[in-house]
Amino acid sequence: MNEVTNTVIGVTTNIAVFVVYINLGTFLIAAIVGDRKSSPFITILCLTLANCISSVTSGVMVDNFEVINVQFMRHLWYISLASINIITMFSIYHLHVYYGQQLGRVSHIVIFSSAMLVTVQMIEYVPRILFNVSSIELNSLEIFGMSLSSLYSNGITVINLFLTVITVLVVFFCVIKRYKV
Amino acid sequence: MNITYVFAIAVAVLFLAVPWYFVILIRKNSNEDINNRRENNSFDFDDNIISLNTSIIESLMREGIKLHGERVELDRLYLLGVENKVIEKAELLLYEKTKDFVFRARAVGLIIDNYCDNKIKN
Repeated sequence: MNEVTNTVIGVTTNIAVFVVYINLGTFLIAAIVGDRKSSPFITILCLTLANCISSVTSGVMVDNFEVINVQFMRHLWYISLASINIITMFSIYHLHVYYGQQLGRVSHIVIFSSAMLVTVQMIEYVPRILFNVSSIELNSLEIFGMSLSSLYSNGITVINLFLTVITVLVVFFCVIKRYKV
Repeated sequence: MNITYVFAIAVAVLFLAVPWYFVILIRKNSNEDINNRRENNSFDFDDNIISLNTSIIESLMREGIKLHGERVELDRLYLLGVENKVIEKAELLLYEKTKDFVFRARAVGLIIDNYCDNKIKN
């Protein structure tokens, strides 16, 4: 892998680690102060688990990218990460049904964002497989005025940071509500 | 056509269709649920009180049966002599459990009633 790819992976990994730590923090605070059967708590729980699993899975895949067949790893990368997002969506919904809760606004936002993440994964997956190109070569392909490679890395980062801000705000309001009276 | 391409396209179609179909479905269900609540403006006490298993509400319902001979809605219990404060607490409990704004509205109504009664008395 060349220097640019390593830098992109480095930045993305740092943001992913930051997102995981923030999510774990918000989850712990929500578990201490919030109602453990409420819609925001269920959503944060699923999101935190998904982020941890994604982080571990992507770490393992990056380490083994050139050890195992590259073509196979390309399939595995996009399909596994998209699957985790889809499972998150279903988990949020089914846990709400299990605990007899209604899907709140935060749950809707997280489910919608997960669908967006899957879409971004698939937008890069198809051209990479069809044209059999590396992520650097993808820079020559453009969609919505952006190169596919930057659409993927920026899209994933922006959506994850947006979700982090949402969870932090939810927990912040939970804490205020708890200690207000 | 290479089998890998067919596989990639099939996966992409599936992975795009499933999440968005799911998003549309839950959005539709959520809107229908809100509309149903607005139209009916009611709550099936017999089914939900039992599943809630909240002791204060159950005891209030028993009191309603004792006083009235059959189950009555919580906001009617004050007519039978049950304290406003108790019914108000039960309504708020039901709101916490179900997130149905009808209960909150009733509780607020009772709080206002209580406030007005006290003002008149004073």
